[in-house]
Amino acid sequence: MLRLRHCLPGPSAIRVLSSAVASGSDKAGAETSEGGSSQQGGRLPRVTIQPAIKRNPTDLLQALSDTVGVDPTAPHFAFIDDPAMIPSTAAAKRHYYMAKELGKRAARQLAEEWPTLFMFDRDYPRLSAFRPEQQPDPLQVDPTEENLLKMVEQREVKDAVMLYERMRSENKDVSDSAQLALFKLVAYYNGENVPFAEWEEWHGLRNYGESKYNEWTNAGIADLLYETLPKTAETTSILVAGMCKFASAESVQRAENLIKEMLEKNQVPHVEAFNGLIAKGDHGQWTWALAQMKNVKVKPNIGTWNALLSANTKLQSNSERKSHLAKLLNEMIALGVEPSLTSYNIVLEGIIDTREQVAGGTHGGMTREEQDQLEDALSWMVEIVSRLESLPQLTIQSPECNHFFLTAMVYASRASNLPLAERLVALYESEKNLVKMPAFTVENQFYTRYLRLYIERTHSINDIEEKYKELVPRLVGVTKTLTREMCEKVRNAPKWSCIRRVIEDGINSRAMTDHKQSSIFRKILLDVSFLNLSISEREEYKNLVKKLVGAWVELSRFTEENTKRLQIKMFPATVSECALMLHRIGESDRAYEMLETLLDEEAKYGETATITDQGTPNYQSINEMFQDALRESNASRAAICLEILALNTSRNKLEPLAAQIIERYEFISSKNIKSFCIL
Amino acid sequence: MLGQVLARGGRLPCVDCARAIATSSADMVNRAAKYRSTRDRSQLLTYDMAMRPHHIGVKKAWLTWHSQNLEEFRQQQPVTLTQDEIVRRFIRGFFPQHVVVHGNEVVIKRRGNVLFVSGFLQYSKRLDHRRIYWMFGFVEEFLSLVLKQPVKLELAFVETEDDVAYNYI
Repeated sequence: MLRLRHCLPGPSAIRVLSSAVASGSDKAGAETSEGGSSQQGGRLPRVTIQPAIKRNPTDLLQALSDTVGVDPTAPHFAFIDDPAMIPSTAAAKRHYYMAKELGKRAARQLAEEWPTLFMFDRDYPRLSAFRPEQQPDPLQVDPTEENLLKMVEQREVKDAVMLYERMRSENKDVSDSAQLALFKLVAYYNGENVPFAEWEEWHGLRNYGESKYNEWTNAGIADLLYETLPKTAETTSILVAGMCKFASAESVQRAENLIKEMLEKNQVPHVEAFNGLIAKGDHGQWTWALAQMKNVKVKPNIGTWNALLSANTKLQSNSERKSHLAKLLNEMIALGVEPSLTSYNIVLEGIIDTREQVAGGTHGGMTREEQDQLEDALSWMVEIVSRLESLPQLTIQSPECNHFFLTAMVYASRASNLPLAERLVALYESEKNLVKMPAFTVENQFYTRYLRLYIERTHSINDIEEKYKELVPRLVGVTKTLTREMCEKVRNAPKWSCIRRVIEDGINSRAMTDHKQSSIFRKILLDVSFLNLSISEREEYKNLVKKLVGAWVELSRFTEENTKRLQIKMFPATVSECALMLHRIGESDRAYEMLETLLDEEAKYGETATITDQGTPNYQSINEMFQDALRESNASRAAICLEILALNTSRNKLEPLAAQIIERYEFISSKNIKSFCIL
Repeated sequence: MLGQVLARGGRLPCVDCARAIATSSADMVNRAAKYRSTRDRSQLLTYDMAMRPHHIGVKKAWLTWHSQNLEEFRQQQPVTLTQDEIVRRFIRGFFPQHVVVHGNEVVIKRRGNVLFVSGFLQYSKRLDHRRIYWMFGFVEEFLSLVLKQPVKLELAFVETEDDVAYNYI
């Protein structure tokens, strides 16, 4: 303000300033009061600075993020932000992500093995996160309870069991609390190591690692520990829950018997034990379990409801299944239990019975029964999505919650219902949704379904192009099916920018090594009217053609013994079409060089062959080049074209061409036409 | 200088003092960070190399970014210097086939507690994407564990070293 006092010319200007400040005081967080006395007394406006607004540590970052927004064309943060390094396909994403993660694991391993080499200890306070420690070997470590508990805490199941067995063999005492902790761990994981899906630090293995389903190990370490521990409601419930988690027919039966034993002893089983039996038991078992829950007054939780919903999906009758699911959902809502996304997912999966092979008439690849089920599922989905949209927040209740979005998208896609799919995407991307699908796997499938549906239901090529560029390759990996569908669209409504992008994505996803797909690429490029393109587009067209032809030629030239497996021989049609493309972009010399290979026997037969002896060259392509050669009065080129056609087409197609040559040059007598045609 | 002393008829200094005398001709030209031209103009210059030292902060920026040279922020100047050297040597040693201009132009930036390593790498003979991703993961984790702070690589790829050439002298 002091500076302003000197700068402004006089009281009138100050009055203007003060009124401006006063009018904007709410926004600026400052108040002014002049009192109209500046004119008489020359007083300056009084400015009161408001106290600073208290903000969270992440508010600034949030504001920046909101301002900048998400760049959908940028690669995932895990990948190198360089066009040559951004993966296009789901497989490439998997390989690169895993490669990077394994590199990190290798470095971590070095630091664990040789920590003294990493002692650049300038951090204060010391950060243990950057000092990884090697896992203690259960056969080397001191057999103490402390070490055992440490292993239990770190969820090293097999190591903990090994150490426990060692302690028992060496007659070391293990307290009940330590045994209970070990028992909980062992029962929860069935004596196996933690599955990949529960790995916290290494995301790649968590998402891509596959853990086999294993059944409960009878007379395993969990059973042995249970025998040594007091048979309380807690321990028995843990054992029951474990048996139902790794269910087999035998283990479920044992679980039921254990619950019965508990009830006989007047012990109250925990809700998890009942939940397990309801989810994995048959109709009789879960109805019995529900009745017992009521008797012993065990309050159900969301897990109980989900278990009940799962149990109902096993019912054979479709109508019975639907009515049960509806009743259950209504009851949940009536009791004030908000169904989780897992509940809705179970409901949706339960409506369409994939096990049943329903006989009947088909319509659009689906049986009538399947169509009815799909219609039911859609009407349910509309209700569910409307309810979810009205909720203030979607929170994660269990690890399976994210599956709802994919299941719903699969049904919307099967029913070709684009508006519903768009509602799902909007719901998933909304700020209130805290449930996220794992990137590259489930999320990739979700968006791939959505994009394919969008392409199918949208007519405007501009809209399709915009959506395609928004989702590919960041969220959707390029696939052969997607490329084929996009090619169909651009063939019907050619647009150069879209054609270029689709073909370049095809190159990146190695679609050009597929004969059928590469043939489609060539047809699209040959359909493009080169003269109608702008100057910059012509350059792009030329570069793209050169790149494609160069790649096909290179792939055909892997004739050495060690590279033979990589070879993809060209078909005569490929050669002729490539030659025509080169000819159109002004690379006529190279085009005719390629054409001449069709006349070369060595190129077709023998160890160094680059062209297959199957199929014939494309007549239209050669004919166009032939006509151009005639227009240019280039007899040798016309002769090459005619010779190729003579070897591959019928006589009645050749005669008019030969007549054209004669008409043009008038040097062959009519007597020689026959011999020329025979050639 | 010796010539000037003799020309003025002065006496030569004693033997011990003579050690302190430089007898080569004084050349006041500042040659630091300036490159000699070649006859065949084969000396590659990147943009940074082409700009003179006095252009730092004007036409080109620094190769290391930190706040330790500012007044009242000099808590760990030597540590920062050491960190820089560790990072540069490691990048040069780990990507010997890929670094451009001998890895002299790796830019080290610090934002928050994260250290970012920027620059260019070249494709070399064959660009194996999976190998590169493995190496990136390894370097990021290795340097993080050494420096006890997160390290991120922001290295972009060029086909050959010629792609980073600004001029040939």
